[in-house]
Amino acid sequence: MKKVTLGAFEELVLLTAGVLQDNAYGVTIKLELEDQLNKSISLGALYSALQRLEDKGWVNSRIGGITEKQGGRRKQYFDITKEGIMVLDEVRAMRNSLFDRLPQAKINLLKS
Amino acid sequence: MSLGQQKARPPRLAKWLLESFCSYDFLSTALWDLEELFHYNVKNKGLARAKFLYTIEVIGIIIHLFFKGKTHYSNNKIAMFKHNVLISFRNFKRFKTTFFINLIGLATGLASTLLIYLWVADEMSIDKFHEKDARIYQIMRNRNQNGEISTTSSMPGPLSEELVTNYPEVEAASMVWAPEFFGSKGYISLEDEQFRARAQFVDPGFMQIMSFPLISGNPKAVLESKTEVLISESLAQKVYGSIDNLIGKTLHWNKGRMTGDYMIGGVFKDLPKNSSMQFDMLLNAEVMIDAYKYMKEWGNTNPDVVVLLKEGASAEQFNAKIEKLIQGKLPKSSSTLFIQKYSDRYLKGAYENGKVAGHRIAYVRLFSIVALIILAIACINFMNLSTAKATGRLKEIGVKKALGAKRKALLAQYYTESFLMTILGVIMALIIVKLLLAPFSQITGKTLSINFSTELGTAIALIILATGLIAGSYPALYLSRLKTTESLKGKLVKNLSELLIRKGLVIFQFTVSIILIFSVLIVSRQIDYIQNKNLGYDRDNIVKFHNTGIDDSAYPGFLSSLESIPGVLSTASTGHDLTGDHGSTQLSWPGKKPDEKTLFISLEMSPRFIETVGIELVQGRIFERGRMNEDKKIIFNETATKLMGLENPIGQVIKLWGREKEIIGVVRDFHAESLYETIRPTLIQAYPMLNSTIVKIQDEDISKTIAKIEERFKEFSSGIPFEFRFLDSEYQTMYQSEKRISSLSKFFASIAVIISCLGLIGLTTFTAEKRSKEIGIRKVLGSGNWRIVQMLSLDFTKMVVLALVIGLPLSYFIAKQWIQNFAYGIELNIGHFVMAGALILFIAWLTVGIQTIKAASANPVDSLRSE
Repeated sequence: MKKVTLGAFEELVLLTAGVLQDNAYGVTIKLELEDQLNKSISLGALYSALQRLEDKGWVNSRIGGITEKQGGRRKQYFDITKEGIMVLDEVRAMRNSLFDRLPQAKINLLKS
Repeated sequence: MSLGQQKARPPRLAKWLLESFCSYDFLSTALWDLEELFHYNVKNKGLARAKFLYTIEVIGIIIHLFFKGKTHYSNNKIAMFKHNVLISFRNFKRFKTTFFINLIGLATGLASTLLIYLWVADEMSIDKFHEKDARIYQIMRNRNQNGEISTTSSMPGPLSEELVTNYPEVEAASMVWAPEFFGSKGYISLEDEQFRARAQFVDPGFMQIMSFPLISGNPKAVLESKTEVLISESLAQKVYGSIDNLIGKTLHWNKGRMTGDYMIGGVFKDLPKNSSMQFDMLLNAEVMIDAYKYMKEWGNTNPDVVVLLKEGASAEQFNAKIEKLIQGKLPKSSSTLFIQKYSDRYLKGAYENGKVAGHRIAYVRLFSIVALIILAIACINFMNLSTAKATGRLKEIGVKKALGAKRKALLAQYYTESFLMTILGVIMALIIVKLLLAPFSQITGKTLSINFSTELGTAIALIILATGLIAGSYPALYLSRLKTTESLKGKLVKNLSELLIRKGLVIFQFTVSIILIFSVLIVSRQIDYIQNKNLGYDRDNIVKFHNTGIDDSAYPGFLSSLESIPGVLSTASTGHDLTGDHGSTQLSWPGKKPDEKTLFISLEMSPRFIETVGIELVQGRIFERGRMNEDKKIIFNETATKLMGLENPIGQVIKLWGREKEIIGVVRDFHAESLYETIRPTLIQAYPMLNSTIVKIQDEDISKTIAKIEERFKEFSSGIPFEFRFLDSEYQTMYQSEKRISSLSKFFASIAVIISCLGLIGLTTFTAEKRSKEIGIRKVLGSGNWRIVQMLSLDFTKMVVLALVIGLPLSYFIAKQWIQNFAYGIELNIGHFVMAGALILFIAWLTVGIQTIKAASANPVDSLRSE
């Protein structure tokens, strides 16, 4: 079986969805990400990332905010799941361990 | 939320796009997000930007759905669209010849359209760059001469001041003496170096009217004094090597009576290429008036006058107000004034009966039509070939219909195909345009370039839309109409109208090709004729240059030193040339009727001019150099003596400009203007020195002789660079626009013919394929190759002949109209028709022939083996 992986962009989206807690939906995620990354992100790309995350079970979507005024339109909120948190942890742990193995002397040399 | 923001709505088109591609569930989510984002953007970035961003986001979402989307997010349309694209590419692969014929045809057609678009856009942009363009007008004048109205732009000197002081609607006005007003350019001297420069004379108001931005100098206060001069950036670079710190420097300007020191008051940016005025320096108009006092009179007419109307002023009222202005000053004058928008003058600079009559705009229209025709021919190929190929796709259509495909779905498929084709065509066309741009610019005498601006983008989008729709509609409607059962059985119901349409389209293509070929033939014949017509004088091997820098007193010495050069046959000084530059005047002669107002062409030339250019003398004598009182004599052409009704003109005395002159000779008629004009009564007066010199040289060692002339010139003019032209090349430039039209029409006519032939190749190949069994059986039964070729080409020959029958009379009328413009045009004869007809038949046979011979010589076994 193919191992389920977390792409770089997916990771960012997942993190942001987690950070925004109860208020994570298309626009808020987009604006937050744009703020952090300093570049524009298209909704299309965001939706397909969220879709993949949902398929992999790392976010759950729920419907909310249906109002008369919006003419039947609805907000689709995305909440990070337990598995989502776990995969983020895993990725971070892996990255930290790799980072720790970088030779300190070389880092100091290059930074100076 | 403010009222404005509540009202703001996302662009409808984008919303519609989204709605048509997304599944219901996903749509409501996306719409919520998009709308929230939209309102956020309206607040932060403004409405226009927000609308733009909304559209971009929608496109982004659709692209994601197309390539990566989950099916439950999108609706069926995305899947169908993917399918259609796939089928189109499979079809392109399956019918390779058709595909390439279509692609090449469309690409060349689109490339021509794009090239013409670039040219037209450039023509339209001329003089439109002035910021106050909408309020800039030029004053024009109609003169009534013997019932004929002629229109000019030259105005009395005091007019501009009069307009500023007495007409409240005028914000600014300026006289304009273009550099071309004088035959010769003046020159700047700085220490030992000399630089030629084109000077324009204007009022201080000029810089407020036109938008020629200054690099340095105060735009509100330049040219206020008579001693001030503005120079262009590149002239400054040339003379001083820099554009900084020039204000206040003195500049010595040599130009006849206007020679003197001027102070630099500013440097202006080089003029854009799309300005019809071109000059290197600006001087105050007072300088000109001081030098030539008579220009200050109402009766004299010289400068152009441009005005800037105040904002909100009515041009119509102003036009009516100034109509009788000149008559108010000079009651006897027949001149009336009217205004024309300054930027319209470039395209509409010809006048008939005192009304604006067109000019360049005619060519702009003509070529726009040609572009459309070429595009239509290319579209016809696509239509014909797709419908012809329908037989090969009957099963596909049948199966789709049996499976429940609605007509709409089939339509969508064929439109997808035609749009894909068009987009591929446009990509190829852009490559072709890129490659052809340099030679095309040369032909048109413009520097064209493709800049990807919004305008070009819109033009290309429109072209794609129009081409895709035109080319795709007929096949789409035709193929989607077929009945399910019949198409499954492979039967194609042939009805007469379809066949007629297909044939009709081919006939249309060839009719247009014939008209184009015929026009090209006539245009090039006429141009040949003009270039070789006997003009009544000999323009070969005559060198012409300006006398700038040579003193009046040294001039006779200069001429005789030139004549001592071996290889120089004769020299003379001229004030006018024979390419339409001349004075016009009335005069009185014994027995003149009081209502006779004919204007004579007035040429000012030195003695020996007549022999130098080889004008033939009929009676009397010509001017002689050194003879006394030659300035009191005059020579006429034959038309003039006929008009004056003088039986024995020699010795008679006429009155010109208040002085009496004796007629000493009559010369044979010659053309002093372009061949658009008939020969008019002409007079020649003699002056010892005028602004240019012409030198007739021998045929041999031309370059050596010219080098020697240059040496002498430099000697006498204290080192001014020698610039010369040949009289015949000056004559050629008179017909430059005809020559450009000729080469352009050759170019586009060939493209039209090539595209038509491509279509013919496609149709022939297709027929030959379809009849391959028939051909096989015929051959087995003993028919010869030649008979089969005949049989196959008969159909096409009929169509081409029919096209000839329609096309030739039409081209006759068109050619006739054009030739009527010339006073001296070629006669249309039967030979021209035969030639054009034979050419088109030959081309058609050649294209059809290759294909039919191939089909006829195929081995019958190959076509009959399987079954």
